Amino acid sequence: MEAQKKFLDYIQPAELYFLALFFCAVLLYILAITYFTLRKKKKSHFEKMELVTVLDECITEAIVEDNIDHLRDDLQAFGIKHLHLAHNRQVAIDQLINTKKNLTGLAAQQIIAVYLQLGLKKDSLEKLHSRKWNHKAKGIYELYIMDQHDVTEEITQLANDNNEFVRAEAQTALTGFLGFAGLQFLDHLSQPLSEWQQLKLLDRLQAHAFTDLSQLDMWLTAINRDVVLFALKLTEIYQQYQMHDVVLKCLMHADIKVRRQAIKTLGAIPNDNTVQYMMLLFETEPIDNQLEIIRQLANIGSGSDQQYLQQMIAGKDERIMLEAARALAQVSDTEDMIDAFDLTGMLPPSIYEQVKHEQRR
Amino acid sequence: MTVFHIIGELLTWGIFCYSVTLLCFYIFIGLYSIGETKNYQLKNDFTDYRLLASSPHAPSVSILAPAYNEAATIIENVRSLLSLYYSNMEVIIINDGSKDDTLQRMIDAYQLKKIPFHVFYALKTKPVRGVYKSENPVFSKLVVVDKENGGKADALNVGINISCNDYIVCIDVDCILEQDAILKMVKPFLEERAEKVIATGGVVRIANSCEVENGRLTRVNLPENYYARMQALEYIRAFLLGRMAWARLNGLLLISGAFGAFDKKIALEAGGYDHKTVGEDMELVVRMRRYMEENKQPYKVAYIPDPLCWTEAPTSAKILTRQRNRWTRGTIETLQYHKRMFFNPQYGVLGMLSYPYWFFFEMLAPGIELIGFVAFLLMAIFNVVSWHMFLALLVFIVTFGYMYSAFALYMEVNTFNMYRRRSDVMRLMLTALTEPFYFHPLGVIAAVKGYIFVLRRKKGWGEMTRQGFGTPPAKAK
Repeated sequence: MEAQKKFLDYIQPAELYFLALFFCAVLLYILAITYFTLRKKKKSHFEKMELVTVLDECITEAIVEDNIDHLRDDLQAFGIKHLHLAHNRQVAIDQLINTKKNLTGLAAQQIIAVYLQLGLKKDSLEKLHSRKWNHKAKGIYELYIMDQHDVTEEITQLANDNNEFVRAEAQTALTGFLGFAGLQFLDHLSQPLSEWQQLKLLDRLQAHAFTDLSQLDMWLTAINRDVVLFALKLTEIYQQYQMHDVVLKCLMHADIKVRRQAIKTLGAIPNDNTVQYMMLLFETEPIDNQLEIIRQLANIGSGSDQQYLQQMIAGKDERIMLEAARALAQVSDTEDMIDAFDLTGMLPPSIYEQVKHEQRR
Repeated sequence: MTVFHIIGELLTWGIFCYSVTLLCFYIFIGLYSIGETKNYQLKNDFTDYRLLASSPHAPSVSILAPAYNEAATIIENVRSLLSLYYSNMEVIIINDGSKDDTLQRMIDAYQLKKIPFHVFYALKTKPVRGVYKSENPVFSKLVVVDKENGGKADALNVGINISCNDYIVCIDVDCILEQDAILKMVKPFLEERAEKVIATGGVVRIANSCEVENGRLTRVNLPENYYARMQALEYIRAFLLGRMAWARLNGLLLISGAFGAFDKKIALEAGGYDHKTVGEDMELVVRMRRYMEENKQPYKVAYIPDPLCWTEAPTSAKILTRQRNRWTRGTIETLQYHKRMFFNPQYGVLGMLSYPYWFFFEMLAPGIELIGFVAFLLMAIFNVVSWHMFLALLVFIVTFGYMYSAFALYMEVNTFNMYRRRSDVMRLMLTALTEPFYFHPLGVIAAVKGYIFVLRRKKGWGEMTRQGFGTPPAKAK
């Protein structure tokens, strides 16, 4: 058989058996390392539990006594017994961080004291100076959670780092350390600032009393789109009315997202002309931004805008109809829109019923 | 050389080349997935998801869960969904014309009242009979939609029409989600850069034999049932290796219908779920990707390797083959609808790699495998190849499969380690030993039946009975 011969010329059963044997050898090797990995994990789990139990006792005592002076010997003994291994030191740092995150005031200070007493800052600093991005990011995180302000300058250098995770941790740390002043990194930020990171920064800022945002106008006109977006959010949340005219300029921004956020922001810091500007913008915007404009009109509009909203209801898009009917109900503050504005035939009854129901609620 | 010889040679070499390419793909996928999983773990090592759970600035999410004749478990399932950690969220349950009292049970349990609601039929669906909301503020996140029966895809499209949020998370109502599942699924959308994240997939794991209390998974156990145990291994291989590697290549074509998050705007623009196919989950992802490619918009489909969703797997050969038959039909239909992309460079990785891979190694694989096996068996019977050669090929393929399964198990142990007992891992490996001789042929036969169904234009999902979750009886010692 020609075909069979040619095939067998290239592949012999022995070769296939040899490959099968190779696969079996690899299989056995994988099984062996799986077994040892499981064993190691189990062992380290128990070691971790033991270490965490002892550490938790120290932490509790430190918190209850409001002082760690009497614990120095215990902590030293704990360190000698458990913390000679890097893995154990990391477990201790993680445990202290988890506890610290849930505490404030004096109790939190005691956790930091335990962290320093155990010499764990050295580990965090080593990570900060590491070349690996994940170590560097973790080092920043640990030092920030443990309020180690002395590294602020070093961390500032990393706020525009090429690695997004190092950069993000550095920015978070600066905001955590310095509050609103920590946002200075935005002045020179050329790298992206993800929505996730923006959420994190806003969350950190909540812990600080509002001071000032003197560079806000600079950020609102920045080249970096993400900086503009974040500045718009800051303007909205901290109601920076004096930025109204700068935010107006953002309505002309090339990016749809920036324009939408600008509409939202203007809704939070309106002046007498805001509604007029929004109306002018309406026709040229995509549907999502149009809906946002109507939502903001509902908040900042007045009786004089009713006619404009009525025109929108007469449009063709049901989404606009619904949003405009809601807005009209809100600005007119009347119980029955159809009677008040003679919308019969314009507004589908189901939209009318829905808005009426929402109004009642 | 006779025609017979030429056919024989083509067949032997063809199957050999096909097998070698497939094995190379498996090796590549296995190794390539390592980097993605490791990277995910490093990146999220100290992520604090809590800030997203409570932030007023978190994006809005609608969970869409179609329900059809789920009266027995619906109350518990809805409670489980309402308890998920995420504040800016609504849970939309779509009662797809259930014949039992699914709707009434929800009305009673959650104090629902029909409200006036204008439905925008942005996606064409069967009519909505009513929208219900609770009078009790505790259940303010809950929206129940009652509609005429139209199938899962139609129900999900109704959910998309009703939803008023930016992102939709489509799930099977009987799945159990981890409490932080939505937080983890939403994060990739917030991290998007130049590439728009259009969808995020989550890993689905097998919940059979696991302990469940008040709609929450309290203890992970290895399934006692053979079929479920085999699927537990199969899911580890598929999710931890396959999908992670494809996600890294940005070539993922499938997000499980049991748990996936989508950018609602893109899903709507792409046309929503297609109710003509039984593989609506894969079809939607392929269509969304195609839409982005055709509009020249850079995009990404992300994947989360954390075990976030637990589902009950079929526990009998009959139900399993129905499921696999349906999967094959779904794959064929999806690839048929989008055949324009086949080796079409206009679609980049999607057209040049993902589609051809699915065509050759997912859709055709069972057929080629069956033909190859029968052909070689016949050749051995008729002495065209020696039994020695036949056996050697068989041993070669089987041992490769074992090695791949062992590697998947190692990855599982080394990463998420859901089955922590050594005996569990050993049992999984022992179960894997039976795969080539029983479970795998079963899947091949089911898939071939799927081909026949497609040729005969047979539709339908086939009944999928479930036992429901509960605390399993104590194991005999």
